[in-house]
Amino acid sequence: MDRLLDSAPCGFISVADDGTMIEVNATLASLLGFPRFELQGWHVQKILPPGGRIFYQTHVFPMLRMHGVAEEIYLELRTKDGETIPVLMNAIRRDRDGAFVCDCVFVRMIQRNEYEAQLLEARRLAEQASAAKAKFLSMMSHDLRTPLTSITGNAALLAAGVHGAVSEEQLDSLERIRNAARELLRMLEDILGFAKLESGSVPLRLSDVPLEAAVARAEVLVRLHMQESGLTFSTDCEGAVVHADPDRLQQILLNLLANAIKFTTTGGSVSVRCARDGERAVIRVQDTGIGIPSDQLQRIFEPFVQLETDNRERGVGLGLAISRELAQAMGGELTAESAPGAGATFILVLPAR
Amino acid sequence: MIGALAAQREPDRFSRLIMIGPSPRYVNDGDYVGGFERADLEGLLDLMDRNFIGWANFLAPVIMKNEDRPELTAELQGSFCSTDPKIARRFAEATFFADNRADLPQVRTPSLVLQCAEDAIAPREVGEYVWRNLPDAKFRMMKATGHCPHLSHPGETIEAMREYLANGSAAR
Repeated sequence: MDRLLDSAPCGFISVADDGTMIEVNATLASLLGFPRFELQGWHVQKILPPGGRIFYQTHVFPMLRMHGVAEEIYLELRTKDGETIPVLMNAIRRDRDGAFVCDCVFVRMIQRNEYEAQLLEARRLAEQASAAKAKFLSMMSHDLRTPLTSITGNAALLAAGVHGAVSEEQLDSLERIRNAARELLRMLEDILGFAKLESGSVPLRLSDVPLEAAVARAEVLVRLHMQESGLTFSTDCEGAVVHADPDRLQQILLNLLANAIKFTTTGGSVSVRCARDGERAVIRVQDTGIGIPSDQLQRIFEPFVQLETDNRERGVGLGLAISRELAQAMGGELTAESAPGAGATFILVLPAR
Repeated sequence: MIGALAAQREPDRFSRLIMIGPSPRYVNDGDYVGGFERADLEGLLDLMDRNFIGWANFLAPVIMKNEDRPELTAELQGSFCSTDPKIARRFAEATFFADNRADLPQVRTPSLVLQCAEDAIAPREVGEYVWRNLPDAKFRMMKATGHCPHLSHPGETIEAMREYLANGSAAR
């Protein structure tokens, strides 16, 4: 063996297809505590603990045999004293002197191994916590919905005079109660919807959706709100068709339009324009509102994030998070462009038809 | 063993079974020698978990590397290695902790057990157990070593399969 390879700061073995170790470098022999001549001619499984032997036979060797290469494989080697040493292996299988051999290098990774174990554990805990959060949100919004429904229902009964005549002032208060309860209910629906999305339990019914009709459908629902806010609205979506779930697309459009209305002052305008870009359709919802600072353009898509604005209608800050998740679930994306004071544009990309 | 279970449920669909290094149970149990203690197999699952991190990385470039050899890519796609690592992990768990000993006598299909020398996964005792407990089986000891003779010694494996399918007399 080459002298450099023999003393290189990593273990090296050459293994025949039948598992026999043909070459072993001095570094590996000393790492494992065996004289080199003892290792040569042995089956590679002698230096693997039982779990590693199975892994070698069922995964590593088949992979080398079929792909010719295996990289960044975590293994444990067994020393003469029966200790296990975590290593990272790279291996390549090639023809040498008329026979196939697998050349493998091993790098010891004791500290990295511990660090990786901690990372894995942290990931497991984070996944658990996230699942618990989604479950909690879902349960909470369910449980809060029932008493809220009772509040709106009873306020409506009182307002209708079922329990006797009510004065103008009382009617006014009842209306406020109902409006506040409706607002709360809407926020709960958002939380519930988000929790469902997070847990992956929102079924998608994909079909070909003409964007012009989808935008028109959304427009009907926001028209009054648009007029009340003194905004002009225009669309240009003729001809474009996307492959999406029509109800989810509607939900995204309504979220984006409600958002545009919320942040655009009287006299401004909101527009929806669609264009095809290769395999994708691009829907741009643009307003002339207060805009979004550039450092907030990513954050606004995170759940429970609200821009710092005063005197605005509050929500729970889930509309954009839900919209982005829905867009991604349908194979698309939702991003935003803006400069403060120059309005905002939300860009929804979906697979085109 | 999956093939044996399928043949047991749908015997009409199978005329012969050839089992390479089969094991109905990997964990030792009383007098039964499976070859492993439970802790050994847990070590395997631990290794698989640890290899999740780099798994996707080492599969992706490999598939690209075979672009000029489409037949290899097809082989890869059909192989268990190409499965989703989460599935591979559960597949290993299901396989290595399964106990299908009671299923063997129910398999009516004529079968051949191909046993490798020095098979660390399914040792000779296990292969012989399968052979003894299948109602209509032959046993053939191979020169090939290891657990994947179809990969390490394809020639001998093909020859053994051909002989068995031709006359069934090449094995005891």
